[in-house]
Amino acid sequence: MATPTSDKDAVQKQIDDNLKRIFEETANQPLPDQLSQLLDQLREQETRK
Amino acid sequence: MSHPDPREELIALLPSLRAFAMSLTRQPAAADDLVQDTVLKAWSNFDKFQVGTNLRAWLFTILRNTYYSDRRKKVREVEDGDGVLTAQLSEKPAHDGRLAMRDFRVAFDQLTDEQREALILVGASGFSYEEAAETCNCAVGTIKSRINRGRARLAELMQLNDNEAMELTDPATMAVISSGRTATA
Repeated sequence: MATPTSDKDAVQKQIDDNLKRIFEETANQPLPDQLSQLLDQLREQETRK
Repeated sequence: MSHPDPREELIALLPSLRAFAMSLTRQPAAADDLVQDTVLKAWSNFDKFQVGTNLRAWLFTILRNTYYSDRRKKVREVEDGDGVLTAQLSEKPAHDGRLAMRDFRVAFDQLTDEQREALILVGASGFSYEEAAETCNCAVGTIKSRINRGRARLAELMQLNDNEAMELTDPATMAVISSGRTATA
């Protein structure tokens, strides 16, 4: 379907695919030590309450 | 009815929080600091969180407010942080196909913070327009228009306008780079 609308949809889809790729690149990484240590500390405080 | 512990939910949401932080700061170290501040604020304010409401929007809002308030402080401290960004943008992107990731990043970096966050929230994190509006404390129409403008700008930067040439030629690439040099944030 080579209508102008489908061209526009294709552009939008490419943009959204790339946005997802940017997002997932970080979201799929394991948590850095900085954050997992912080969580450990916070949870420990919580159990001591 | 019991709701899941928001503290456990927060942990599950950390990867998306980091990805959102990364789209705002665009620097891993700054993104992790931002997430750390967000977690600390959220943790000490859980008593204000209404169990059963949208924790994801609540956390993203805290992160976003922290980012903008830090940014305002930094702008007051240093007048020009632009030098670093300009240097990054002038790096020549690959020209071996439209929407190559590196090109896309360069283009994405040229959007305003408001456009980037709206696009990432709705386009990548699966937020509804309503949720994104709640997170950004603005009207649904504002989110829609930021997304439309952001998409149009990306398409323009990536030479993706309808019926345009399929590939970024060198002159086109150079135009993207030079427009980045003069663009004001």
